[in-house]
Amino acid sequence: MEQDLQLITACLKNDRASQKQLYQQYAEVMLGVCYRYTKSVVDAEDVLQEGFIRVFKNLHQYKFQGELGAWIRRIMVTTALNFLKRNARYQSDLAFDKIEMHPVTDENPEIQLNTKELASLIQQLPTGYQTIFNLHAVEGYSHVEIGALLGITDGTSRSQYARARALMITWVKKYYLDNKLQTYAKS
Amino acid sequence: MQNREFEKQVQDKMEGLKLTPADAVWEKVEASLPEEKKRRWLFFVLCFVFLLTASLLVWNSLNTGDKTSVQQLATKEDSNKVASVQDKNVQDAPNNATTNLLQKEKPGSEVTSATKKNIHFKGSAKIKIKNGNADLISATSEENVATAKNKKKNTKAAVKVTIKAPVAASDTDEYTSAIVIPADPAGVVNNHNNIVAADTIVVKIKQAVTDSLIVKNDTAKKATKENKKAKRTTSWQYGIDFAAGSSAVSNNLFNNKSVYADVFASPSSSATGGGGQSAAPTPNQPSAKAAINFGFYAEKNIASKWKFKTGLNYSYQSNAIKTGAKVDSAINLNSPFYSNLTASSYYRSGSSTAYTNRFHLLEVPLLLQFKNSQRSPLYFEAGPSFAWLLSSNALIYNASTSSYVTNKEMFNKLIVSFTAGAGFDIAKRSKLPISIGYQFKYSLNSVIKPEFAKQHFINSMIWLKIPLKK
Repeated sequence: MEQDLQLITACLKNDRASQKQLYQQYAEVMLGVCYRYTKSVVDAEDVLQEGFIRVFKNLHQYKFQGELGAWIRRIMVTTALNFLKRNARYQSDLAFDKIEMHPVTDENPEIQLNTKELASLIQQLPTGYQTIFNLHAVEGYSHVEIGALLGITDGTSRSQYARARALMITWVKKYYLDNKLQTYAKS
Repeated sequence: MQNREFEKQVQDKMEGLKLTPADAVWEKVEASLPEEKKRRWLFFVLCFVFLLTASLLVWNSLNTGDKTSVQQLATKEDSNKVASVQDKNVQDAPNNATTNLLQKEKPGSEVTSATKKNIHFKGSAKIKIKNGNADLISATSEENVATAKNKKKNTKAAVKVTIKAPVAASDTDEYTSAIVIPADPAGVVNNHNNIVAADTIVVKIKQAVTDSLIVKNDTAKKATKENKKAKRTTSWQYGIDFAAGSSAVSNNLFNNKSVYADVFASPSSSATGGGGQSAAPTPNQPSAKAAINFGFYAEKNIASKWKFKTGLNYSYQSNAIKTGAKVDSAINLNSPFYSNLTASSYYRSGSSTAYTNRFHLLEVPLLLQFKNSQRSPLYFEAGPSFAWLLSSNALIYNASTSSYVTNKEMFNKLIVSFTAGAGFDIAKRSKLPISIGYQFKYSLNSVIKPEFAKQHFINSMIWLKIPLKK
């Protein structure tokens, strides 16, 4: 915390070295966050760039009431959502149609994928599913909060998430089976 | 209850997701960072200092020019008798002049070269010329002027008096002013000055405290006083003025804090380190846009160097803000300060829509103008102004609904501002004596009520003033 304080103070004084240090300290993790919300590394880097610009612009608002990483992460998530909303490639896929409530499956299969494989699976979800899956399953937002963020009802958020979760579980299982078959074939 | 084992696995794995960004990302971020921290207050102070310095320089140059011109300094009651004899060659002067003091002195000695450096002198003297010869019959002074009656020899100094008068004067003429230039600024006694010309006489003064002396007779003094009095009691002058420039809103003149910084906590206030609570989107900051002012003004002299200015202006202020898409449905703002505060439509958080916040105000300025000299075209003005907000469509971020909304209850109606600026008279003696100038204005109170946002207007404007009656 003390280190954060010193770093932020220096950044607020527009000390370029400190600003770069802050960037380097969080850039890799935050690119991972941005990557989950987009469909490519290039788009993720665009979000990361815009997000860090906002971080430095609003750094004076950080009141040391939580971890700096969490504060930056929230800005990245917000930036990513704005990016999706204004980017033509994502807009059509981001239309959250009102759909019927979908029961959430109780299945909790073991995920045998590594981090990057799981991130790639999340990326393959339709953008709407991907966004809500990230917000709920990874970031931990409630459906009411997601509704407020995306301008949809919490019911829509629940339903979209149920479908996303079901799809993810199917893919995880399939990956598990494929992997097992490959292992069996090799042996 | 849903078993969240799957979500927990996803969270754990995603926590470890790290990707190395390209170097270009930091380069672009760095390019967007300011070169140095903005110090707006320093900028305005520098502007003020610059304006002050420039005006002093201009005034000084104009003032110097005026003093070298005897024509401008000389005022004679009978204007027909006034003539300029500046720089007249002493050798060519056909007539001699003498003072009552020098009549006793030995002729033949020469006046040393006079110092041309002029300094104002407060005093008076009566000068009479008889039969074409400029004889200084008597000279009286009010303030440390050497007079014929002065007996402090050690403070005497020779001076050259240049009288702006026709050489061939009538029997007795009274002249209202003359330039007295000491031949010896150090105050060396010179009792052997020669009578050199009708328009150049030599007198002794008590103290050579000045390089130049304006001698005025009593009549002129009275006339000057009357003129000054008349000027002070001049009736109102009025006209129209127009100003255009930029308008911005700021949390505070002296920092770059968000206009919402004091209203609700930053995202960090609800951060828990890894998520789990609501993410408050960072509201976008308004950026500067156009400002226009026009209306009537009235001004009046209240002292020799001071004027009071007021008027009635329409003021248009605007700024730009980026928001999300517009939603045409009513929304309850859930304000803890106002029950049932609603908006008929709202804009989502985001940056897809460019929106212009507009403010329409009616303004009454109460300014004091300072002009160091009536001849100087430059003047400064400062003072408060009171504006009444007629209407506004400005969007204000509402944290409880994460949306941008507008409602007239969110605005302060009375805006008190401080104005400072400088003006420059152009073609003062023409039929259209307009003035142009620069004005900086800062609203001392927020246009938005403090429970919603803190937005102080900052105006930087160029104005044009056209008098209709002078």
